[in-house]
Amino acid sequence: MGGGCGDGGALAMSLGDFLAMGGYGFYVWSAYGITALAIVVELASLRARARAAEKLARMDKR
Amino acid sequence: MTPFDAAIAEAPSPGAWAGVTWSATRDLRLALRSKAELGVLLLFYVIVVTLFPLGVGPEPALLRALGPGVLWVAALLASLLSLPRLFAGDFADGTLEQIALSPFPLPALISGKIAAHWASTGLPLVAVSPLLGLQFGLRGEELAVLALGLALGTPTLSLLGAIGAALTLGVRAGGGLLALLILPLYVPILIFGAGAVEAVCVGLAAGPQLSLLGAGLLAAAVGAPLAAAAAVRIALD
Amino acid sequence: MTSASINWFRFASPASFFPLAGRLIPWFAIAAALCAAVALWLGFAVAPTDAQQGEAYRIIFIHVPAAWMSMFIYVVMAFWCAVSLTMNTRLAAMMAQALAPTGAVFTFIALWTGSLWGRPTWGTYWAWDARMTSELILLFLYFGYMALRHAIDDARRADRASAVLALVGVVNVPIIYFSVKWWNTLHQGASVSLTAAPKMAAVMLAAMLVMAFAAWFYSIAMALTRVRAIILERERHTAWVAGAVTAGR
Repeated sequence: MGGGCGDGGALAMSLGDFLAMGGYGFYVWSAYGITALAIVVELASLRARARAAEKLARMDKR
Repeated sequence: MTPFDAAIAEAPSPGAWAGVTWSATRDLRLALRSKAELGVLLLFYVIVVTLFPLGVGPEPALLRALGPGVLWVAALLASLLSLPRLFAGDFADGTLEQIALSPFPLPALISGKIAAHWASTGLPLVAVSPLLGLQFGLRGEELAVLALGLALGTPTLSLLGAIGAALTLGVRAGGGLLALLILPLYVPILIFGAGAVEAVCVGLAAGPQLSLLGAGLLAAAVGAPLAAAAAVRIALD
Repeated sequence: MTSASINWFRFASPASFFPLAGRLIPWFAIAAALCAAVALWLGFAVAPTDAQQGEAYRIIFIHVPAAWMSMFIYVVMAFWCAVSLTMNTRLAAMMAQALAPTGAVFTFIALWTGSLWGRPTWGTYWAWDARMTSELILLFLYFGYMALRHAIDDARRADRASAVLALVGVVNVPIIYFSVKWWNTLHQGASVSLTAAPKMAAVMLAAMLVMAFAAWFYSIAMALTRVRAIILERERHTAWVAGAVTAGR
């Protein structure tokens, strides 16, 4: 059985416990943080690319 | 039937094997004209292998542990360095286009080119590797497995490398790009080649690794010329 | 052609796919956001603490879906490359071109989160285990594809060359994984079992699966958006693009 000993997950924790993540806070939040950052960067660069493409298409239209 | 038709009827039909032998002898003849260039490639291999002990120190146990890996990685790099000469010369003066237009099957012609390429760049590595292996404290059977592994692995490196060389024909930043494209594909050959020598170093048999290298060579010999031919046609369009 | 049947091949033309993609994107984006929210709630609010790994295991809710997507996207990309070569179409090649960056992002996420999971659990940021090493090589394969595309100026030659590369890559991925796995078992020994995930309680597995769907919908939304940008970039000299930008789409 590896299900764990906690019962309600994060609902049973206080905010402090949630942020600390049982002492592993740095690792857990860095992982989620890097993921969020990668997604934001991808979204932003794609948006810039789409804008530039539209601009290019507008300029080229005869 | 006109004399023209008669001549065509009598002409030998270009088969695959004829294509292989034709391009192999042609490329070997060309390679032997630039022996200096081949010597430089061999020297590159020797120098790179010599750099590692200079970097990590001459302690015998460490060198014995590193030896197989170093000798194989350097062979990969030397192979990478030699790849552009496979197609670039013919591409630059238009010969490659003529070769592609010839009635011989293009994969057969490319197989011949690769065979000649290996004979001029890979085979010297195989020949010199036991000497370099001695520098790392490898002995008898280990050196034999090293040479045999390289003999099975370096043709595969040429075969896979030919695909990369054809894809990057005439492309800017070709050399670095070729490395990025090809080195991931080289990883299995490196793992099994170095693994074979390491197995013998600890007293195990190298049969499995060498068999896998042989299997890889067979698979590459069949598949790589086809992929390289497709890539050459793409480059020539 | 009756009105009841759709000729799907109609959408093989960039001109007709462009508006279709535009209509689909918002749905997939919303689906992705909803699934992500549900997965995060399941993963943090509902899933209990793991007996062995404590709270650190919660990283798997993004690590495993990211790794799955990184491999899945490469296969899909190779599929579109095969279509583009055999049917000599532009749109299939554009789709492959659109998928690659998202695949690379997921590979990057899988590597970073895997490393951050490895440090508290097995004591080291990088342990050269088979999956992580293969994932790193997959990142090189993505970069190789994108670099080759970028280095070739002619768009159609870039399509074909990178398609050949992707197909050679997809054939080699199992071989590379097998060889790295062999290498790892030889050198690592059985003492460190890096590929053993915590035994899944049902809610942990559910959170992972829902997050995988979120990643999948996100990838589709990103790929459709990117392919629209690529279509505009590559087809901007055509009349339909001129019409579309005048109309403001």
